[in-house]
Amino acid sequence: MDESIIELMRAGRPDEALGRLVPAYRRRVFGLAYSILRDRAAAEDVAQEVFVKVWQAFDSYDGRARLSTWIYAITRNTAIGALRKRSRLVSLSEPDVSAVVDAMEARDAPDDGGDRQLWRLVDGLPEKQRQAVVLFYQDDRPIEEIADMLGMPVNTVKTHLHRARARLAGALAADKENAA
Amino acid sequence: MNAEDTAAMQALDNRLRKVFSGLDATPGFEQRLQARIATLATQPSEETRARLEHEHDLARAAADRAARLDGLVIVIGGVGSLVAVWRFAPSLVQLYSASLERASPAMIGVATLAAAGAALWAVLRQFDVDPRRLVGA
Repeated sequence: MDESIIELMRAGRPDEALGRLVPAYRRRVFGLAYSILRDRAAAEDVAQEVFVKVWQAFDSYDGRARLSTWIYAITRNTAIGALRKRSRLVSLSEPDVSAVVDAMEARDAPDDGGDRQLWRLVDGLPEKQRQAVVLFYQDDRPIEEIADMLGMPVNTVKTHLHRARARLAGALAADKENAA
Repeated sequence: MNAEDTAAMQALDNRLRKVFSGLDATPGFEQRLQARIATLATQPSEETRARLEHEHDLARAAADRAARLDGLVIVIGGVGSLVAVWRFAPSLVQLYSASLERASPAMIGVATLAAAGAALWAVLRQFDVDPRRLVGA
Protein backbone atom coordinates (compact mmCIF):
# COMPACT_ATOMS: atom_id res chain seq x y z
CA MET A 1 0.00 0.00 0.00
CA ASP A 2 2.75 2.45 1.01
CA GLU A 3 4.63 1.79 -2.24
CA SER A 4 1.64 2.77 -4.38
CA ILE A 5 1.17 5.93 -2.31
CA ILE A 6 4.84 6.84 -2.72
CA GLU A 7 4.61 6.23 -6.47
CA LEU A 8 1.66 8.62 -6.70
CA MET A 9 3.55 11.20 -4.64
CA ARG A 10 6.57 10.94 -6.92
CA ALA A 11 4.38 11.12 -10.00
CA GLY A 12 3.16 14.53 -8.83
CA ARG A 13 -0.37 13.32 -8.02
CA PRO A 14 -0.69 14.47 -4.39
CA ASP A 15 -4.50 14.42 -4.27
CA GLU A 16 -4.65 10.78 -5.38
CA ALA A 17 -1.86 9.88 -2.98
CA LEU A 18 -3.77 11.51 -0.15
CA GLY A 19 -6.94 9.72 -1.24
CA ARG A 20 -5.20 6.40 -0.56
CA LEU A 21 -3.21 7.52 2.42
CA VAL A 22 -6.07 8.82 4.57
CA PRO A 23 -8.15 5.62 4.75
CA ALA A 24 -4.97 3.61 5.40
CA TYR A 25 -3.66 5.85 8.18
CA ARG A 26 -6.71 7.63 9.63
CA ARG A 27 -7.24 5.29 12.59
CA ARG A 28 -3.54 5.06 13.36
CA VAL A 29 -2.95 8.82 13.19
CA PHE A 30 -6.09 9.49 15.22
CA GLY A 31 -5.15 6.80 17.78
CA LEU A 32 -1.63 8.15 18.17
CA ALA A 33 -2.89 11.72 18.54
CA TYR A 34 -5.51 10.58 21.05
CA SER A 35 -2.94 8.61 23.07
CA ILE A 36 -0.96 11.83 23.50
CA LEU A 37 -3.81 14.33 23.91
CA ARG A 38 -6.49 12.25 25.72
CA ASP A 39 -9.19 14.29 23.98
CA ARG A 40 -11.15 13.12 20.93
CA ALA A 41 -11.92 16.55 19.48
CA ALA A 42 -8.31 17.69 19.84
CA ALA A 43 -7.08 14.39 18.38
CA GLU A 44 -9.34 14.87 15.36
CA ASP A 45 -8.05 18.41 14.82
CA VAL A 46 -4.49 17.12 15.02
CA ALA A 47 -5.26 14.26 12.61
CA GLN A 48 -6.63 16.77 10.10
CA GLU A 49 -3.58 18.96 10.52
CA VAL A 50 -1.27 15.98 10.09
CA PHE A 51 -2.81 15.00 6.76
CA VAL A 52 -2.67 18.61 5.55
CA LYS A 53 1.02 18.78 6.53
CA VAL A 54 1.69 15.46 4.79
CA TRP A 55 -0.10 16.69 1.66
CA GLN A 56 1.90 19.92 1.69
CA ALA A 57 5.20 18.09 2.30
CA PHE A 58 4.83 15.30 -0.28
CA ASP A 59 7.63 16.91 -2.30
CA SER A 60 10.02 16.87 0.64
CA TYR A 61 9.57 13.16 1.40
CA ASP A 62 12.90 11.68 0.35
CA GLY A 63 12.18 8.01 1.10
CA ARG A 64 15.02 7.65 3.61
CA ALA A 65 12.55 6.78 6.37
CA ARG A 66 9.52 4.56 5.86
CA LEU A 67 6.36 6.43 4.94
CA SER A 68 4.70 5.27 8.17
CA THR A 69 7.66 6.45 10.29
CA TRP A 70 7.52 9.84 8.58
CA ILE A 71 3.78 10.19 9.18
CA TYR A 72 4.04 9.08 12.82
CA ALA A 73 6.83 11.59 13.46
CA ILE A 74 4.65 14.38 12.03
CA THR A 75 1.75 13.16 14.18
CA ARG A 76 3.77 13.06 17.40
CA ASN A 77 5.22 16.53 16.79
CA THR A 78 1.85 18.02 15.89
CA ALA A 79 0.11 16.42 18.88
CA ILE A 80 2.84 17.53 21.30
CA GLY A 81 2.60 21.06 19.84
CA ALA A 82 -1.17 21.03 20.34
CA LEU A 83 -0.74 19.74 23.89
CA ARG A 84 1.67 22.56 24.74
CA LYS A 85 -0.64 25.12 23.17
CA ARG A 86 -3.60 23.77 25.13
CA SER A 87 -1.61 23.76 28.38
CA ARG A 88 -0.70 27.42 27.82
CA LEU A 89 -4.31 28.35 27.02
CA VAL A 90 -5.69 26.47 30.01
CA SER A 91 -3.11 27.91 32.38
CA LEU A 92 -3.87 31.41 31.13
CA SER A 93 -7.65 31.20 31.14
CA GLU A 94 -8.60 28.61 33.75
CA PRO A 95 -7.47 28.69 37.34
CA ASP A 96 -8.66 25.14 37.98
CA VAL A 97 -6.81 23.06 35.41
CA SER A 98 -7.78 19.71 36.92
CA ALA A 99 -11.49 20.57 36.58
CA VAL A 100 -11.03 21.17 32.86
CA VAL A 101 -9.10 17.94 32.39
CA ASP A 102 -11.72 16.00 34.36
CA ALA A 103 -14.48 17.48 32.20
CA MET A 104 -12.68 16.42 29.03
CA GLU A 105 -12.15 12.91 30.34
CA ALA A 106 -15.80 12.60 31.35
CA ARG A 107 -16.88 13.72 27.88
CA ASP A 108 -14.75 11.09 26.14
CA ALA A 109 -15.42 8.17 28.46
CA PRO A 110 -17.98 5.55 27.43
CA ASP A 111 -21.39 5.64 29.14
CA ASP A 112 -21.16 2.10 30.47
CA GLY A 113 -20.24 2.21 34.18
CA GLY A 114 -17.60 -0.55 34.10
CA ASP A 115 -15.93 0.77 30.99
CA ARG A 116 -15.93 4.26 32.42
CA GLN A 117 -14.01 2.93 35.41
CA LEU A 118 -11.50 1.21 33.12
CA TRP A 119 -11.20 4.34 30.98
CA ARG A 120 -10.44 6.36 34.12
CA LEU A 121 -7.81 3.82 35.21
CA VAL A 122 -6.12 3.88 31.79
CA ASP A 123 -6.20 7.65 31.90
CA GLY A 124 -4.40 7.57 35.22
CA LEU A 125 -1.53 5.45 33.89
CA PRO A 126 1.90 7.02 33.31
CA GLU A 127 2.07 8.64 29.88
CA LYS A 128 4.06 6.01 27.99
CA GLN A 129 2.10 3.11 29.49
CA ARG A 130 -1.17 4.80 28.56
CA GLN A 131 -0.01 5.39 24.99
CA ALA A 132 1.07 1.75 24.62
CA VAL A 133 -2.29 0.51 25.95
CA VAL A 134 -4.39 2.78 23.72
CA LEU A 135 -2.45 1.89 20.56
CA PHE A 136 -2.28 -1.82 21.32
CA TYR A 137 -5.97 -2.33 22.09
CA GLN A 138 -7.33 0.04 19.46
CA ASP A 139 -6.59 -2.46 16.68
CA ASP A 140 -4.66 -5.33 18.30
CA ARG A 141 -1.55 -3.89 16.68
CA PRO A 142 1.78 -5.69 16.55
CA ILE A 143 4.24 -4.36 19.13
CA GLU A 144 6.67 -3.50 16.29
CA GLU A 145 4.15 -1.12 14.77
CA ILE A 146 3.45 0.53 18.13
CA ALA A 147 7.20 0.98 18.57
CA ASP A 148 7.30 2.71 15.17
CA MET A 149 4.34 4.90 16.12
CA LEU A 150 5.81 5.97 19.45
CA GLY A 151 9.38 6.18 18.17
CA MET A 152 10.75 3.84 20.84
CA PRO A 153 12.40 0.39 20.92
CA VAL A 154 10.20 -2.72 20.75
CA ASN A 155 11.34 -3.98 24.14
CA THR A 156 10.49 -0.68 25.79
CA VAL A 157 6.96 -0.89 24.39
CA LYS A 158 6.66 -4.46 25.67
CA THR A 159 7.77 -3.33 29.12
CA HIS A 160 5.30 -0.41 29.18
CA LEU A 161 2.47 -2.66 28.06
CA HIS A 162 3.32 -5.35 30.59
CA ARG A 163 3.51 -2.85 33.46
CA ALA A 164 0.31 -1.15 32.37
CA ARG A 165 -1.63 -4.42 32.29
CA ALA A 166 -0.29 -5.43 35.70
CA ARG A 167 -1.18 -2.05 37.15
CA LEU A 168 -4.68 -2.11 35.65
CA ALA A 169 -5.31 -5.65 36.85
CA GLY A 170 -4.14 -4.67 40.33
CA ALA A 171 -6.30 -1.56 40.40
CA LEU A 172 -9.38 -3.48 39.20
CA ALA A 173 -8.81 -6.19 41.83
CA ALA A 174 -8.44 -3.55 44.52
CA ASP A 175 -11.66 -1.84 43.39
CA LYS A 176 -13.44 -5.21 43.46
CA GLU A 177 -12.22 -5.91 47.00
CA ASN A 178 -13.29 -2.47 48.17
CA ALA A 179 -16.72 -2.94 46.65
CA ALA A 180 -17.18 -6.39 48.28
CA MET B 1 0.74 -16.90 36.87
CA ASN B 2 -2.11 -19.27 37.81
CA ALA B 3 -5.26 -20.05 35.84
CA GLU B 4 -7.28 -17.48 37.78
CA ASP B 5 -4.77 -14.76 36.99
CA THR B 6 -4.71 -15.79 33.33
CA ALA B 7 -8.51 -15.60 33.16
CA ALA B 8 -8.47 -12.20 34.85
CA MET B 9 -5.89 -10.94 32.37
CA GLN B 10 -7.90 -12.26 29.46
CA ALA B 11 -11.00 -10.53 30.80
CA LEU B 12 -9.00 -7.32 31.16
CA ASP B 13 -7.73 -7.65 27.56
CA ASN B 14 -11.27 -8.10 26.30
CA ARG B 15 -12.53 -5.09 28.21
CA LEU B 16 -9.66 -2.96 26.95
CA ARG B 17 -10.34 -4.07 23.36
CA LYS B 18 -14.00 -3.17 23.80
CA VAL B 19 -13.13 0.27 25.19
CA PHE B 20 -10.52 1.25 22.61
CA SER B 21 -11.63 -0.52 19.43
CA GLY B 22 -14.15 2.26 18.80
CA LEU B 23 -11.46 4.92 18.91
CA ASP B 24 -11.69 6.62 15.53
CA ALA B 25 -12.34 9.99 13.93
CA THR B 26 -15.95 11.09 13.56
CA PRO B 27 -17.84 10.30 10.31
CA GLY B 28 -17.14 12.75 7.51
CA PHE B 29 -13.49 13.15 8.50
CA GLU B 30 -12.27 12.61 4.94
CA GLN B 31 -14.80 15.01 3.42
CA ARG B 32 -13.81 17.72 5.90
CA LEU B 33 -10.16 17.12 5.08
CA GLN B 34 -10.83 17.32 1.32
CA ALA B 35 -12.70 20.60 1.81
CA ARG B 36 -9.83 22.00 3.87
CA ILE B 37 -7.29 20.99 1.25
CA ALA B 38 -9.41 22.39 -1.58
CA THR B 39 -9.42 25.74 0.26
CA LEU B 40 -5.66 25.60 0.76
CA ALA B 41 -5.07 24.68 -2.88
CA THR B 42 -6.74 27.91 -4.04
CA GLN B 43 -4.66 30.05 -1.71
CA PRO B 44 -1.17 31.21 -2.67
CA SER B 45 1.60 29.17 -1.14
CA GLU B 46 3.64 30.47 1.78
CA GLU B 47 6.55 31.13 -0.58
CA THR B 48 4.43 33.09 -3.06
CA ARG B 49 2.83 35.05 -0.23
CA ALA B 50 6.26 35.91 1.20
CA ARG B 51 7.52 37.00 -2.24
CA LEU B 52 4.43 39.20 -2.83
CA GLU B 53 4.82 40.77 0.61
CA HIS B 54 8.51 41.46 -0.08
CA GLU B 55 7.67 43.10 -3.43
CA HIS B 56 4.97 45.14 -1.72
CA ASP B 57 7.47 46.31 0.91
CA LEU B 58 9.99 47.28 -1.78
CA ALA B 59 7.34 49.27 -3.71
CA ARG B 60 6.25 51.03 -0.51
CA ALA B 61 9.87 51.94 0.34
CA ALA B 62 10.42 53.28 -3.21
CA ALA B 63 7.25 55.42 -2.95
CA ASP B 64 8.42 56.78 0.42
CA ARG B 65 11.82 57.65 -1.05
CA ALA B 66 10.21 59.39 -4.05
CA ALA B 67 7.90 61.39 -1.75
CA ARG B 68 10.85 62.51 0.41
CA LEU B 69 12.81 63.53 -2.73
CA ASP B 70 9.79 65.49 -4.06
CA GLY B 71 9.47 67.29 -0.74
CA LEU B 72 13.16 68.18 -0.79
CA VAL B 73 12.92 69.52 -4.35
CA ILE B 74 9.89 71.67 -3.42
CA VAL B 75 11.65 73.08 -0.37
CA ILE B 76 14.88 73.85 -2.33
CA GLY B 77 12.89 75.33 -5.22
CA GLY B 78 10.82 77.47 -2.83
CA VAL B 79 13.90 78.76 -0.98
CA GLY B 80 15.64 79.41 -4.32
CA SER B 81 12.61 81.34 -5.61
CA LEU B 82 12.43 83.46 -2.45
CA VAL B 83 16.16 84.24 -2.69
CA ALA B 84 15.82 85.09 -6.38
CA VAL B 85 12.83 87.38 -5.75
CA TRP B 86 14.64 89.01 -2.82
CA ARG B 87 17.80 89.47 -4.91
CA PHE B 88 16.22 90.63 -8.19
CA ALA B 89 13.06 92.34 -6.91
CA PRO B 90 14.24 95.97 -7.53
CA SER B 91 15.34 95.32 -11.12
CA LEU B 92 12.15 93.32 -11.81
CA VAL B 93 9.97 96.16 -10.53
CA GLN B 94 11.97 98.55 -12.65
CA LEU B 95 11.59 96.37 -15.75
CA TYR B 96 7.86 95.93 -15.09
CA SER B 97 7.33 99.70 -14.71
CA ALA B 98 9.30 100.44 -17.85
CA SER B 99 7.34 97.83 -19.82
CA LEU B 100 4.02 99.25 -18.59
CA GLU B 101 5.07 102.72 -19.65
CA ARG B 102 6.01 101.46 -23.12
CA ALA B 103 3.10 99.05 -23.67
CA SER B 104 -0.29 100.09 -24.97
CA PRO B 105 -3.47 99.23 -22.98
CA ALA B 106 -4.43 96.60 -25.59
CA MET B 107 -1.10 94.85 -25.24
CA ILE B 108 -1.45 94.79 -21.44
CA GLY B 109 -4.94 93.27 -21.82
CA VAL B 110 -3.66 90.54 -24.19
CA ALA B 111 -0.74 89.74 -21.90
CA THR B 112 -3.07 89.52 -18.85
CA LEU B 113 -5.44 87.21 -20.72
CA ALA B 114 -2.53 85.05 -21.92
CA ALA B 115 -1.19 84.73 -18.34
CA ALA B 116 -4.64 83.87 -16.99
CA GLY B 117 -5.13 81.31 -19.79
CA ALA B 118 -1.79 79.66 -19.09
CA ALA B 119 -2.60 79.44 -15.37
CA LEU B 120 -6.03 77.97 -16.12
CA TRP B 121 -4.46 75.45 -18.52
CA ALA B 122 -2.01 74.34 -15.84
CA VAL B 123 -4.80 73.95 -13.25
CA LEU B 124 -7.01 71.96 -15.65
CA ARG B 125 -4.13 69.64 -16.62
CA GLN B 126 -3.47 69.05 -12.92
CA PHE B 127 -7.00 67.57 -12.63
CA ASP B 128 -6.57 65.50 -15.82
CA VAL B 129 -8.92 67.71 -17.84
CA ASP B 130 -7.90 68.37 -21.42
CA PRO B 131 -8.67 72.09 -22.02
CA ARG B 132 -8.87 71.50 -25.79
CA ARG B 133 -11.95 69.34 -25.24
CA LEU B 134 -13.66 72.17 -23.32
CA VAL B 135 -13.40 74.38 -26.36
CA GLY B 136 -14.26 71.53 -28.76
CA ALA B 137 -10.83 71.47 -30.43
